[in-house]
Amino acid sequence: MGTLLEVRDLRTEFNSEGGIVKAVDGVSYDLQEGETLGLVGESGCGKSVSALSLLRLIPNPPGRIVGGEVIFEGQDLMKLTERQMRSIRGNKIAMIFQEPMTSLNPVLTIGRQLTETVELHMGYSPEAAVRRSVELLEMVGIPDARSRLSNYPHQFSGGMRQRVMIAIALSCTPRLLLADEATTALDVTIQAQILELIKNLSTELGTAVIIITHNLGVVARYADRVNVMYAGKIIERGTADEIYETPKHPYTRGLLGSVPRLDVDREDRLASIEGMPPDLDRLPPGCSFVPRCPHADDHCRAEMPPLSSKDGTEHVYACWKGHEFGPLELVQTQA
Amino acid sequence: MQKYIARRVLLFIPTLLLASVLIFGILRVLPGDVALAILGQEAVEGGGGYTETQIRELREELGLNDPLPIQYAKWAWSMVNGEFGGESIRSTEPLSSIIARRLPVTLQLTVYTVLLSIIVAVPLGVFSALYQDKWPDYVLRMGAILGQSMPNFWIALLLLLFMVTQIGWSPPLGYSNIWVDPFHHLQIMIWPALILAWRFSAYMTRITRSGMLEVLAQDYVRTAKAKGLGQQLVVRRHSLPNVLIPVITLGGLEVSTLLGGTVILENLFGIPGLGQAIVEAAVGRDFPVVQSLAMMLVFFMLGLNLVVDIAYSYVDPRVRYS
Ligand SMILES: Nc1ncnc2c1ncn2[C@@H]1O[C@H](COP(=O)(O)OP(=O)(O)O)[C@@H](O)[C@H]1O
Ligand code: SF4
Ligand SMILES: [Mg+2]
Repeated sequence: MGTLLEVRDLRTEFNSEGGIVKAVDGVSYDLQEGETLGLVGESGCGKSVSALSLLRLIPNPPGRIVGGEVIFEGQDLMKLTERQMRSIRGNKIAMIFQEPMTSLNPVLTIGRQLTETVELHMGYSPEAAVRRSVELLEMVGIPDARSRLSNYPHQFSGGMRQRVMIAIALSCTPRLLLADEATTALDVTIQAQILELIKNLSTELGTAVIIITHNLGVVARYADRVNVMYAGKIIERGTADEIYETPKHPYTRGLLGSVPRLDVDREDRLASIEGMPPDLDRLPPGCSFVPRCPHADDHCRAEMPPLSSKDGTEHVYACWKGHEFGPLELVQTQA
Repeated sequence: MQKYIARRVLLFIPTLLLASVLIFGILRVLPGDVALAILGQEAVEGGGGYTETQIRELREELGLNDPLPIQYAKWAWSMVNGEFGGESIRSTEPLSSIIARRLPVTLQLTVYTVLLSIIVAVPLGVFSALYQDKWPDYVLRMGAILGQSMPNFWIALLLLLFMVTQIGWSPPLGYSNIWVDPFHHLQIMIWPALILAWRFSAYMTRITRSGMLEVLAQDYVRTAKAKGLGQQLVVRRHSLPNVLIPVITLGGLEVSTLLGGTVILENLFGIPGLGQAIVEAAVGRDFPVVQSLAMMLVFFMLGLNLVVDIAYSYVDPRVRYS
């Protein structure tokens, strides 16, 4: 399996009243074909912006991709014309969003919203597109698919709408699927169904997936590797097992809840960490976690730790003291 | 859908009742005896006098001796049974015939204005939104503010003045139906329609622009872009139908304001619509005509509202299927 995607030093900024917000601040990672990569972090840390940047869908103004490379199937997406970029969106790279209630167009039928991608990217005739749409709806488990093509989004439940979104996203058999909090707005039981569906279909189609989520249970179960993001940067990366069992960055350790708690099902939520995420428009010069870190010292304040590991393994972390931390003491409470 | 329309029509009944009581009431509390006013005017015009008997006879003829509730009931019933309040006391032309002659003219002027406005305003509003805060947007917004801040009658007077003094053109006399002499018809209708559309389209451009900006920020537009659709499809297929929802709603409400302008311009340009008739009748103390035509304007407005509602449900499936 080859490398599908290489992101190098991606930077995306927003102009705001307070100044320039560095929403994505030098993010680098790669993704293998067919791999499922988790992207976790608190709300506002830049997860959505980093995904939208790959598709060059940052609203401008106020946003702007200011630097970096996104090498997808060997070509740098940042260098493509808008027209070339459009032939990638929805075709080679597809995205599912958090809000199934608002992500579908309320005045267009489900059929119209499904057929347009295959008509556009695969040159299907209207009849062929309808046939393909029925197939897709059946694939994502929507009963009575043919007659539902003429329905409008408000005639579907939230879970069903998200299935439709998945059908649309997978309609052109993309190489990469970006699932941005795709299940956050849904009931717990529906969440599991939708995630299974994404997992099964992506495996079947050989599609790589970036799963963006708050939910560590999701990451543990579905992701091969995990990027942990904080204040616009990736601050730790490893396999799901490494991140889950031996987190090195105090932020990740905090998320996972270093203090064993029996009252909270660890699999289902991030522990809350003392303090607030920093303002992305005035970051401190050193480690951005300093204000919230119990281990911070003068070195941390003065110099930004690089994303690396002491022993040269693939489990990397942006913390001067990461190597000192051992496995997290776990009190597993299985749901 | 039929049910929805039926419900809307039923809701008209209280509105109509209230409007009719108001119109009837206002004409009764206006100072002066109607019979006296009529006879007085006739006397002035004819150069003679009038007698007590004449006054009594006229009062009887006009039904002014009946108790008010009876007068109201008679009038209200005549609106329902198609007599529309009898006839003009000046020309003795039946009101049903006056209305049949005048209503289509006002209707046409309104339709021209609205069509012109939509053709101009929707593309401009969309364009303005797509170039938000760049110079085309600033220019269009200034134009819209200018359009909205100049009263119709003022523009109309300036225009007439300019044309009469500078190019020696004045509005053609007489009026032709579009199916009789389309050219003459357009010649007389185009100026008031343009002036009314100037203001109306300024308003429509503004609501299209703000509606478009709102829609462009919606999640489903982001979805459309993430699908790889080009700007044209994103705007035409995914945004415009959603923009039409607020545009139709707000535009529909604004049509009632437009009607006020129509009444004035019909008079300035000598267009024989309801507005001109109502002013003529008021000047000539032709009370049955004033009363019934005012009521017709109310009907007209409610009819427009119904059209707006139907159009609205047509673009919004959430309404259509509820
Ligand atoms: N449209 C926008 N305008 C201004 N700032 C934005 C916009 N979208 C995102 N940002 C900024 O980028 C930061 C990261 O946002 P986002 O990627 O949506 O976070 P999340 O990790 O919750 O997905 C936010 O803190 C916000 O300040
Ligand atoms: S570098 Fe220092 S401040 Fe930053 S996370 Fe590590 S210990 Fe905490
Ligand atoms: Mg997000």
